[in-house]
Amino acid sequence: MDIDNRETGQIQQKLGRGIRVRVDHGKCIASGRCVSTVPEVFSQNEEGLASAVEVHPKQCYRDLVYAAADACPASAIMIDED
Amino acid sequence: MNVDFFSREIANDPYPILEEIRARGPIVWNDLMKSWMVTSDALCRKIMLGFSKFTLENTIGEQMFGLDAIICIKDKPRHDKLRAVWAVAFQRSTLERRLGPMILACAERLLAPLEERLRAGEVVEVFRKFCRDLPAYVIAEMLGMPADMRKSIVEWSDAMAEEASAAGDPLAHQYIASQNAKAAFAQYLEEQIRDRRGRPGDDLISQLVISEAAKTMTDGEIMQNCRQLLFAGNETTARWLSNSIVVLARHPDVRRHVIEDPSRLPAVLEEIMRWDPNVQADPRMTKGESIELGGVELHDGQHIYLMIGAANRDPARHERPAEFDIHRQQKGHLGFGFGLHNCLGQSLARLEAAITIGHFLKKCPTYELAGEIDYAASFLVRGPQTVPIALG
Repeated sequence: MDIDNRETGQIQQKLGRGIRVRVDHGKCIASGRCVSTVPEVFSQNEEGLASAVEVHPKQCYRDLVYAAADACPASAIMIDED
Repeated sequence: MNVDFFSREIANDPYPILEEIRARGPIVWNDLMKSWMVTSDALCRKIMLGFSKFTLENTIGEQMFGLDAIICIKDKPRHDKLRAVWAVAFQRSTLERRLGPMILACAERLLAPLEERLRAGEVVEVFRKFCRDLPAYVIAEMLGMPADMRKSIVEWSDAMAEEASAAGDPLAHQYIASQNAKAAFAQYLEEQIRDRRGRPGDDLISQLVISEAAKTMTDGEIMQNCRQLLFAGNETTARWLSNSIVVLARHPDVRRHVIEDPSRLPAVLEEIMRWDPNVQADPRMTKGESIELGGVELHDGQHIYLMIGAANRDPARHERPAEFDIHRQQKGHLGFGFGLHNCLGQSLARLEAAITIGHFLKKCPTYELAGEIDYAASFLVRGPQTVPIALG
């Protein structure tokens, strides 16, 4: 069964095992590390600042999102476990 | 305006001059240096993001590191491919796991003999034998250098740093010393590169030598990148360490606060980096079509200095910017750069600073400054280079 990310996120949220991703623009230094680690979840705007395009990423990206948070030199990525 | 970047005055205390520049505008011509000075945080960020229009060509950066060093590469795919080789080694979890205990052991070993002398009532200079050596030893270990090479690494990279004080004069003794040091570095590193190719280990030179990126690189290009890494990995951090010791001595309430609660240390160190960064002026040169910046028209081939110390105190970004405030809600500063060429080693620098200063405060909680703090005539990469202390 193929469902879109947002729905997956909502289902995961209900099941209590999804994650919620945010990027603090005050801290972001536009290194692009998150985008190169998991382009399906992060993107950069014209000022270089990163955002999570998938706030509730699919389960399959979970480990990569944690890797991106670790790779971020500015510790700007925050992950909440739902 | 005429501002001499090579004067002792600006190295000792750049902030009055930086505020004078800011008062004249976000981008101001320096007739003495024949370059623009940018004091605005927003403009500095814009320039750092525009890496193909604002390059390191013909700047002190290119002179020091060479055309093929990653800091000078403006082709993004090529840059990213090379940076990816070392990215994992420089991320927080890898560093904490692999290097944390080694950094602490190194701090203990370097401080122990100084502690003894301090306890005996002596005044001890802590830059050269403690702050200076620690990051050099750590980066040398990461590159898989034998212990007996550490002394040469410190000497060579110190001589390279002097180039930033030579004011572009090819006859200046600092310039000549730097060229000699770079040649010695190059020769040694090229031997190491050939050696690792035959028997790669898990050090940073081996990681690069066996990488996909290295397949299209000459030994000279690989060498320039290893040399940049060695240099960048120790000169700046050494000055962050010595500056932290000076700032904490001058703010005894902050020091007490950190000693009572060591978990506050990283935030304090970060505020030191914002308030008084070690890279004070970051060079660029414009390339290509003219561009408007802060109300000024810049033409091809013009030199620019990003005044990081000024940008980090830009009132448009930071509240009460001149105030050293460890409780402030930290908004990103430019002490480690921004965008494509942001500092690869910033997580390493933070880990080294937290472990080293933490250990120093534990062992010498009552230290006091005991003589004149000297910044030499080093403004571009700035920090106290003579730090005499005594136990209070």
